[in-house]
Amino acid sequence: MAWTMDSDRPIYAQLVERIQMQIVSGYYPCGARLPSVRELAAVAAVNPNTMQKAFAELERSGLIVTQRTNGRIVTEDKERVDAIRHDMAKLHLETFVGKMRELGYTKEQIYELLEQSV
Amino acid sequence: MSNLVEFTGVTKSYDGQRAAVDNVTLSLPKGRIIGLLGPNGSGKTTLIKMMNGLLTPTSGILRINGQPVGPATKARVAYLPDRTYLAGNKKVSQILDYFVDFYADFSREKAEGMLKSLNIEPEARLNSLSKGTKEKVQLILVMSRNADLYILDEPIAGVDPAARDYILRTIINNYNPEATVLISTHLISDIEQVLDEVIFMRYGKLVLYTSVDNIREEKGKSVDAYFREVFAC
Amino acid sequence: MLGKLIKYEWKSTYKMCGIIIMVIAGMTLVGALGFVLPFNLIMEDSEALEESMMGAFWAMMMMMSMMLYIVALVGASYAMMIYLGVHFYKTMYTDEGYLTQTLPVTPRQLLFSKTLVAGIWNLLVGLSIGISIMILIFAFISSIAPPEAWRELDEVWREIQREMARDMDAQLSFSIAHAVLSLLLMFIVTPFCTMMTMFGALTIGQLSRKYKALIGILSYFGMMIVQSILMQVLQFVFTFGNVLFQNSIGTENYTNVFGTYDSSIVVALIMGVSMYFVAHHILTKKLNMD
Repeated sequence: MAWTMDSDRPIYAQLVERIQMQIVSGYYPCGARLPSVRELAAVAAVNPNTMQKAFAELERSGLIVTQRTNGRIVTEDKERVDAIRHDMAKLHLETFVGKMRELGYTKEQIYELLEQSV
Repeated sequence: MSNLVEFTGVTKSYDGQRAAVDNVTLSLPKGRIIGLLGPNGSGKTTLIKMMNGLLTPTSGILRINGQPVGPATKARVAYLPDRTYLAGNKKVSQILDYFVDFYADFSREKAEGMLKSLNIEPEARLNSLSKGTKEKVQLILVMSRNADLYILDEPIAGVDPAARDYILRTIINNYNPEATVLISTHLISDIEQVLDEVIFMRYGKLVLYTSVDNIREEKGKSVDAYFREVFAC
Repeated sequence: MLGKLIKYEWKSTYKMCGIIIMVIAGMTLVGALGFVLPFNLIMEDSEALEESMMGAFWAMMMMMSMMLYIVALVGASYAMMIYLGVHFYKTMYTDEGYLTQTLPVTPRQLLFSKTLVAGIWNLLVGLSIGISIMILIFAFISSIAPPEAWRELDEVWREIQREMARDMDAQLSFSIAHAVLSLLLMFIVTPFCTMMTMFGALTIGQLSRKYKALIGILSYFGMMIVQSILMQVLQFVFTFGNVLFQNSIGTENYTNVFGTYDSSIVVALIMGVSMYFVAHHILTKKLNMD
């Protein structure tokens, strides 16, 4: 199925997030081979150049590595993946806390609520 | 030779009428999928027909691969017009023969594979096919060429969502870094995520030529939303 | 590329053109039978039939089949012209033209392939009509004439040949060779020039913004008028020149008879060649497909 995109942000940034998510969630485990740009572009129904740009971004962040023989694989560096996972978790938490504050919850109330729902 | 297509001050006008294409200067690079967007009557089809030699520019210079439009450029441009150009009494396989004979870059194997995947019988006569199937046959003919420039005039207008999906996937699957695909349409949201770049046209003039992600980054909205804003009436 | 264009042009026209030629063949058969059958009946018992209703009936039948035959031949040649014109227009300037005009070929190759194939069909139809008429004349003579008449006809023919042979020795030999050559040229060259003129005229219609087909047809009729005016002028020049020539050398000469063929070839050539350049110019510089 084609990936659905938000309309107000660059497509490549959304692709980066999506693939990041797939890596940290273990859909693509450490050392796993990633599909080619063209294959993934076809799956997502997006422009191959945009997918290429997303891959370049992921490579820069060290999450994926290009090997001469194997094509692109997820980094073997587990710490790197964990760091990214941590970053993403922090981002979500910040958003969450921000929203709760907007709703007028205190620190204690947030803890309490979290305790209940986890 | 950096650019695939070069328009330099190209104008097309008919006697006593507003120019259909008005002083357009534009360079299209290789390896892109470009949307040619604009309301009806904005000059999209006129621009496309000039690139295929079906219309002669009134003034200005138009070059493809550094050459004026002629047999040499036609050999490298695969064109899907906004109409059926195949004679109805022919069989699909006869049309394949025709393309094999005239276009050195046409892959019969590829075309037959695509026909098969769409369950189109090569021995069927064009007349016996539905309008939608005929359009698919034409798309297959165009996409089975290994051209430098693919020009698709309104390929997704009036097709059902499944067919539209097939068309977009075909375009992506055939993507080649050495070739450029130019798609004219007024249904932007459907193809937005397939495009690298967009050209906006209005009243025959070039309004904007930029990348999709540029618009999203700078304007914080989709190309479709931005288009509606620019062409609000 | 030219060879391929010719191949496909031939492929896409042979069915219809073949049918037209078959129709001519069929009508020849009907026409010939129309002559042979009633005459044979009349001959068998001429006195009895002469005054009877049957005789009148057969005479009427003969008239009818003769008329049908003429109408069919004229119709066939018109049908061929119309078909070739429509085929050209359809493949060049309608939706199908979007494919034809975007092939990697030059306008010259397009025009050449179309004119060549259409010209061949035109030639073949002309040939069929000629052969058909000859068969019919043969049928007519053989039906009314008793076998002895053939011997007489043969005699007449020999006489003509002797006359001709004598003339050959004289100064007329040139004229006869000239006449044969002119006729042959007219027969071969004219069909191609005719088609080129028609295609050129239809192409002129492309200059119009709104009424392309109509202007194309009108300019074809315009070309026909121009052609006949040119013929008149040229023929006058030929005749006048001949008279002057004969007066100056003081001999009787038959060349003025052949002036008609000469002028029609010259005019057809002029028209065909100039219409080629017109069409080529429009296709390269002024094409505006709707």
